[in-house]
Amino acid sequence: MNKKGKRNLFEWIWDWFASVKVGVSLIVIIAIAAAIGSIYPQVNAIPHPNPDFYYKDKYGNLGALYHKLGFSEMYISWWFLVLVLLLGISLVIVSIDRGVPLYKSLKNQPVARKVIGIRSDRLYAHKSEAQTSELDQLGTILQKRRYKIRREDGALLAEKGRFPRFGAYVIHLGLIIVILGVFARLVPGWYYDSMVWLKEDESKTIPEVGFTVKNAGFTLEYYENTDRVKKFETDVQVFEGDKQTAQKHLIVNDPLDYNNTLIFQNSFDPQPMYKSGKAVMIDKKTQSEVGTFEIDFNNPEETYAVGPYTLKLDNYFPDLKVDAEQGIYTNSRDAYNPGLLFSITGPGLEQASQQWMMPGAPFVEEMLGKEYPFTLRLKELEAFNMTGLLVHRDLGIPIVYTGCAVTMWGFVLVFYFQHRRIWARLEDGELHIGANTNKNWLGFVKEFNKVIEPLGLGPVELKGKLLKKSEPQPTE
Amino acid sequence: MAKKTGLSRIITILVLLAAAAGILYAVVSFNKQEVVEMKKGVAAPDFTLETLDGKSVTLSDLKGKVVLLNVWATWCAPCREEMPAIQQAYDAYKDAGLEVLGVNLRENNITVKGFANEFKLTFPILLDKEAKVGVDLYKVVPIPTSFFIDKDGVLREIASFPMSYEYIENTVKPLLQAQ
Repeated sequence: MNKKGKRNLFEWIWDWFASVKVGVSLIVIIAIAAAIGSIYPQVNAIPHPNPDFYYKDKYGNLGALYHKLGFSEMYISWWFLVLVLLLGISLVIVSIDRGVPLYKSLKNQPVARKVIGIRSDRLYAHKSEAQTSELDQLGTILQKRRYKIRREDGALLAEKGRFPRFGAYVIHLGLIIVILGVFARLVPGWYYDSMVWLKEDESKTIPEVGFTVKNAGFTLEYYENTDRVKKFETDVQVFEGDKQTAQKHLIVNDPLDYNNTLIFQNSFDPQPMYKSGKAVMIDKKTQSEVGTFEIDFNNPEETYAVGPYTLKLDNYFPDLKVDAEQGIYTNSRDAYNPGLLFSITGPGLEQASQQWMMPGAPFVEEMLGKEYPFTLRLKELEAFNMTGLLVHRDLGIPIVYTGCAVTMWGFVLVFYFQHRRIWARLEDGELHIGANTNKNWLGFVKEFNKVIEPLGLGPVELKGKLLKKSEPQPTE
Repeated sequence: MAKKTGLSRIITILVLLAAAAGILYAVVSFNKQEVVEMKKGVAAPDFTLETLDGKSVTLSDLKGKVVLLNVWATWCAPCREEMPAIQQAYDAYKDAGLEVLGVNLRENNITVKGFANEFKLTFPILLDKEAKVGVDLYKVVPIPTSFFIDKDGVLREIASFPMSYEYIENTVKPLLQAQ
């Protein structure tokens, strides 16, 4: 159909994609690129926000070059994707270019072959003075062996395992499905992968997956007398709107599967946050307790009444830091290291006495507090750690698995099944039987001889060499 | 027959190439995270927030004044850096018709009040407890971010960096002079 030399653009494109050379080259280039991409971690997998710095710092000049050449973002680079897409197109076109003619020729194959053709088959047997009944007998025997029989006057075609001839195209189909599955994450809402950090009783809505995740309690346990973590677990709840729709006690490696989305216990913030506490006020002179008060570290009161004294909270630094340049400031809005500055008024105090309370930094407090008339100390503390949950959705994964299964099936067809055909022709009282297979001649010879035995024929031997050229030849 | 086959091949090639191009385009736009930000020249979105003193402030009530809307937090070092300049500008141009609104993101009243006292801030401090104004309405990503709104309530300038006094002065002056 392709007249050489007079091809138009589309024919040229078609032939290019249909070329086995092109297909194999694409596969090799993709394989090499994928291998290079796995030498160092990809940008999305490095534990540092600045890749320019990270690759140089961690892997030296080679790492810097690796990043500069774009290998650190290989799998999302446009040229890698172009290669994969070209391979996809090539697979489709090759399948059409070769598969369709094969299908047509097998569908339209004649039952009656010329005797001269049958004679030249590698497996051939013949019987003189044969009758139509013997052709019928052959048909019955072959039918029992699960051959599909087609008959014409004085001719027979028995065929088994035609579909495995298309094994290669089944592999192609599987690979195309895999490629589609990988790209399926582009469909909005099909792919999401992100960490969610939740404080105690905090909930966050993730619009990409359409629900809200709530931390209904996080437990963290250490091995006794060590700082090695024994376990960390979250009671997670899922809400759609205001309605709770799922919940699970999450432990590591046992995710909540909700709405095709997996919620994993992934990590936690090792630094605890203050939640609330009961503080005690002690008169330094008498060492007697004046009274106690409750502090909510997320939303402290403006004043606290303790015994006859009034404690006015002048300033509150949830995450106190002290710095020579910046002075006293808060490093975040979370109560990791609270610092409370009180003005105390009451009996025996001529003017308001200002004093710091720093439950997380007792040394600083002690240093500053030599002159303080009171000691302010936390008697009871409720703290919590922030939990880190991984929310992962990839609806393309089942498609990828399906593609893999189809590919495997194709390989099984290619390697373990054969297309066996037997032709018989009754001409001038002589029965000619020829046979052909696409592989496993050894097995086919045995079957052929079993089939012709009841006709009083055989056993015949295979014409030509059984061994392939690539296999070592026996020395004579 | 040959003609027909040729046409179906052309169609196949075109469909496959179009699909590949579509996928490639989808990948490119997928990796390019959409950045939504405020644009200059649009009407500044209206809002009402409570101040530290318990009053309530509505942006649209301030028409006729030039408004400097500063989104900040006490834990943000560059915010602390620019605060004196903002206060200085407020003192200098208050009488000429400048209003400064400090929108604090998600902090407790004591911390904010302590900060305002420390920096001797006299302009109204608005408490944006759930970041509805700063993040949802004004799409602020880095803080500090400052919005300059003219007398007609139109957004004229956006500064997402710690501002110097000179910068504020140079930005505010022409807005104050405009009729």
